[in-house]
Amino acid sequence: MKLVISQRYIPGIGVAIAIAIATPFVWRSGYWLDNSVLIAIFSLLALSAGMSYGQAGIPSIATGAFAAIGAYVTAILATHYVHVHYVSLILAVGLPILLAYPMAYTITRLTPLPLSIATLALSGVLEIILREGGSFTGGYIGISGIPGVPFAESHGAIHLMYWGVVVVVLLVYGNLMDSAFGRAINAARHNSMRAAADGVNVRRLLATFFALSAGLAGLAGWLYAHYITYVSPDSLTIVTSITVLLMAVVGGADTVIGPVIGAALLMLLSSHLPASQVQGMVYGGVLVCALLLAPRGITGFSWRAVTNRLTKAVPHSPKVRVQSSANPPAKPEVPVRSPANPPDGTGRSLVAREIEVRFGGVVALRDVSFTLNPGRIVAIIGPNGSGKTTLFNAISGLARLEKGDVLLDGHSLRGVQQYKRVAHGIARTFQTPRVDPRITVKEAVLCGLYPRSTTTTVDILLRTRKANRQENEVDLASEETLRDFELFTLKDHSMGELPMGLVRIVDVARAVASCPKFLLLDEPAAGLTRAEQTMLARQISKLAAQGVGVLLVEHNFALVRSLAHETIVLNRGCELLRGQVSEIERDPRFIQAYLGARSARERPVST
Amino acid sequence: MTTVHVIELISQGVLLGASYALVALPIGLLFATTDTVDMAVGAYAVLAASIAMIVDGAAGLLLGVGSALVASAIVGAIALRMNRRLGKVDPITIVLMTFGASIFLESFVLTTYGRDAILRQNFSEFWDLAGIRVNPQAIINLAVGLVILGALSFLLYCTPFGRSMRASAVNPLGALLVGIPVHRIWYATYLFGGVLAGVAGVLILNTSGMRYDSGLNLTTTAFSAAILFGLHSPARVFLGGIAIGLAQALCIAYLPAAWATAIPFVFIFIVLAGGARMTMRVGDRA
Repeated sequence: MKLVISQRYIPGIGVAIAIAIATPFVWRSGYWLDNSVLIAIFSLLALSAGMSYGQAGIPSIATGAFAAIGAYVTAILATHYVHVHYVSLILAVGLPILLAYPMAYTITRLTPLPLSIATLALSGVLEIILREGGSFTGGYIGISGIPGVPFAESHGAIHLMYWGVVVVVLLVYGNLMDSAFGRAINAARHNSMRAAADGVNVRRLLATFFALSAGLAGLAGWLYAHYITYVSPDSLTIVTSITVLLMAVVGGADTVIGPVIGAALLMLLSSHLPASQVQGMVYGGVLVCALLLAPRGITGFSWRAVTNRLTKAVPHSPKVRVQSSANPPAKPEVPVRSPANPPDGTGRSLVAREIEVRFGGVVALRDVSFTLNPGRIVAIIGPNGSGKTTLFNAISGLARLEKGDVLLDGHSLRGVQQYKRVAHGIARTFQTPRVDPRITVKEAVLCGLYPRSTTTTVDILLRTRKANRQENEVDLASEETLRDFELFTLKDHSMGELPMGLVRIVDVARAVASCPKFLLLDEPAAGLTRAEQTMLARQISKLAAQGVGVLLVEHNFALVRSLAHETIVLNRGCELLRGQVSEIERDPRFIQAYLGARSARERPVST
Repeated sequence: MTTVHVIELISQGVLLGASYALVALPIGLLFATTDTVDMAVGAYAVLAASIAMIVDGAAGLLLGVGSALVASAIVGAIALRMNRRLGKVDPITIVLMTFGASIFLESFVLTTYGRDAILRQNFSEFWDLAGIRVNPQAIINLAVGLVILGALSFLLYCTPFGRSMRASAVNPLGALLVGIPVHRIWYATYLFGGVLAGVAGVLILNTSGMRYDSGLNLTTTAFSAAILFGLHSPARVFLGGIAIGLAQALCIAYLPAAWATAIPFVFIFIVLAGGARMTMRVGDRA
């Protein structure tokens, strides 16, 4: 039997092996065992900082504060009340989570900056509370006499136990990142609007990551308190937060293993540092330099770019060739996706009713109405600035309606947030695709499958059978979509390598992957080759045949003519005309709006 | 509570608030133009104050503000170096970098100046205006604040430079394409931050004083002042600073000393959770 180790377990297993190798060397030395235990604790703290900064994009200055909560909880329980390890452990992890989640949820809007400021304020408040807490928190002196580490008497046993915790955390963290949540958080960090268009509740996701990272810090605090057996307001402070953030950045905050490497490196270095006064200058300086020179840390650093520059070699960039539609890739029989809607579409429709959108005093849309039935393709055309994209934003929930309403299957979508509309079956693409250039084509399509995953956070963390099954399903579905759009051979290329036309096709595939009932395509054919256009047109008609209602903004007349059942012309935010393309393109009002009256005589409308 | 008492409280609040407003102004300006915050502005203020404390007289004031300017010039240069290609670097990475710079400066002040309070009292006697005791420093703080506010508003709304600055705030790429030297404008914004924070530092030195580690607290307070009433006009940011100063003065008057220091933080939470309408260009051509 072949033993396959999933890539997500490599960091955990790697650290386990490294510790197994190192243990015999440090076993007899009290000094090294002590260092090793501290490195394990700081690894957990750095992982916590890495989770919030590297994954969620929130530079948290409260890692130390959450750890202090964990440490103080167990210290107070042990010295004032009865001491039960399980209870104190649950509280030490749980309290930071309970504090962090609502904090992140209420404060995070589209930018994580206010939350970062709030973490700074939290550290300030907590420090004052700990100092002024009287005998309850031990005031300035702190609490001593905390019982030692449970189940581990000797330093060697503590060393093994703490590193065991690190390995478990790494495995769980690996699970988290190799899941719908992990992909979604990466998409959200790169562009929160794009992630919301995938159906991700960005606020909740960021808050979940922040809360998990706080819980991890609480765990580290608990371990710290029982190892040192003493806590004071000066033990885990803002300086601790910055140090561990620095460790995460140096190691590579957006990787799983990075923070551990950074922690080990800086802990070993810091024992050689001079007086503590200068420490701030060293840490601050290193942080500035690290962010300037290698913002993605040691593990994320592109060593190849440096070696290329040194050897003056041309950077390696794989050639991306567009698969011509004459030579389609081998397509195995995949079950046809069940149509999202029955083609007869009984009663199901997307209706816009007298929509009005204003930006300040500018009326971007006024009195625009249409009905999109399943299986129909409605094209929206109009000159630049006529409100086509604003109409899309209004339907997908990005732009606020001044008047009117959007109805899905007869239910008003007023007040329904963007990510929920995706779950209800309204998917969209963007005129300028906002993709992370680092992810692969397949990962991009997988992001579109987010609404299909229904596993809970606990399932994902523990990678239960349910989570595993779902990952497999999503994997198959993504490959099916990739084949549909003739992207299968490109699936492992990164998005940054693709020409713009293909990026658009991937964006369409990403939207289609969510199995929408209604699909909003914003100029999908701009920049596509003839072959790609044909393929795209085929896919759009196929989707319509399956019962998907398509709303298409497009300047490419050939495409509109071949696809649209109905065409609506917008001009200056108002409906100018509607009907068949063949009638519209002869209408003088349309020619006037689109091309100007004079040129209409000189140039016939064509592609 | 008498009217006299109320007025004294207000004067106390203005005293604090005007200097917060001075730090808040560049924070608002920088956030509006670059989507980032220079977390080190508080540290510039501390640096300026500590140098003005060491060197006596007007030379000290100038040296202090000058050192803040130099520090901001270095931080700004690093920030622009990181962001030399528009949109290539996540703004939050730059925020984190300025955070590192703040820690560096804090430690620098600690090693050169030490842990003593950075505080000086210029006026031993308060003015007695019809029975109301007013600290002359409050008048100075408010006057300096208003003059700078006026100058900044003039610069933003009545000069070509200000128009370019507002243009690059609305759409950096668009501004770059019509020939506005966006990067130079951003750099100028960092330098503004240095100078204003330096002036604020000197004012605080003569007001409530600070310590080597006050920098980040000052930035935090100023940030919430900047977003309290919205950061798109200098006047609003200034009012935000005064409001936070008043709130703090109230807390100092009616709460036990230690807890009063915690209140601004609580206030910050409320501002962030409630009124943080950040610049979001939702619904642009996606």
